Amino acid sequence: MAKRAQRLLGIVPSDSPGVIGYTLYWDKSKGDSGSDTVLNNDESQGAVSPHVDLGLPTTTRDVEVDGTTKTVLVVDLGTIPELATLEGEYDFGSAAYDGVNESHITEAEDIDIDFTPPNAPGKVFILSTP
Amino acid sequence: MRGAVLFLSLCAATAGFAAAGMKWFEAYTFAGGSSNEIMLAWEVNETDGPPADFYEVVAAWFERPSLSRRYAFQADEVARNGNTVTAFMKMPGTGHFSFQVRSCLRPPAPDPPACSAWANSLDPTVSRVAGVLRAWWVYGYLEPPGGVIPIPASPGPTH
Repeated sequence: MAKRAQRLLGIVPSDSPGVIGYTLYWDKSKGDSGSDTVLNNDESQGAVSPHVDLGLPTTTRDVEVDGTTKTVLVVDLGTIPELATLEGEYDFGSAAYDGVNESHITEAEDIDIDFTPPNAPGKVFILSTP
Repeated sequence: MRGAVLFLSLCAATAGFAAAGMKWFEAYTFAGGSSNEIMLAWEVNETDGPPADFYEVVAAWFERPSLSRRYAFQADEVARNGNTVTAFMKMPGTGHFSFQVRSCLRPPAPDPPACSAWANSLDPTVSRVAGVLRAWWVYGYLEPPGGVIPIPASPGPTH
């Protein structure tokens, strides 16, 4: 069995009361060659970006954000089947929901994703015996 | 009833809410994050009777009427300037809220309080926006996450 890299995202929780979960959105990053990807969760604005329901992540970690320590919700991208085949730079975003409404998406751009392990070596030989 | 609420306003000093300028049911919409606090103001009429003992405020939740929130503010605990009373309250949730206020007198128990008619922010005859008679309500939107941050892998590759 191959080892897969661990790629963690931290989500700074919404300040709104009544949030019961978060949705993770992603799309292939345009990088420097084009305009920034704008992740979309509004059908009236066009195709909704690929997404997965995270529920309410229970793992938290304190991280430094803009000089202040914040407690973030930790998402291990490697455990999300929908992301298993991604490779390259992606934009990720998250939106909070409360059972009725979903917020705008907060984005993080150009995150390198590589969950594809290299091919296994060919045959293993014993070159010599004592 | 004496001590009735005359005018109801959302104060310009309310932080985090901007006039969205949308019109729905002919009501002016203030929009802001649902974690914000709002400052509500109302004018009272005490020219021909005793002042109210307390004020009842209802935040009527358009999307979830059964979860509308009721508040009580004691008259001696709210800020007052002339006939204008102001009170702060947290937005009770995400969605559209109209506000209703009435003045109440607390008679000796066990009688229920005697209260004025409600002043409703959706009633353009008693509600003001920037001093002008106009219906209004508040839209509290669900605030997005504060950020999405790559976290350095720790402790390393996993099986």
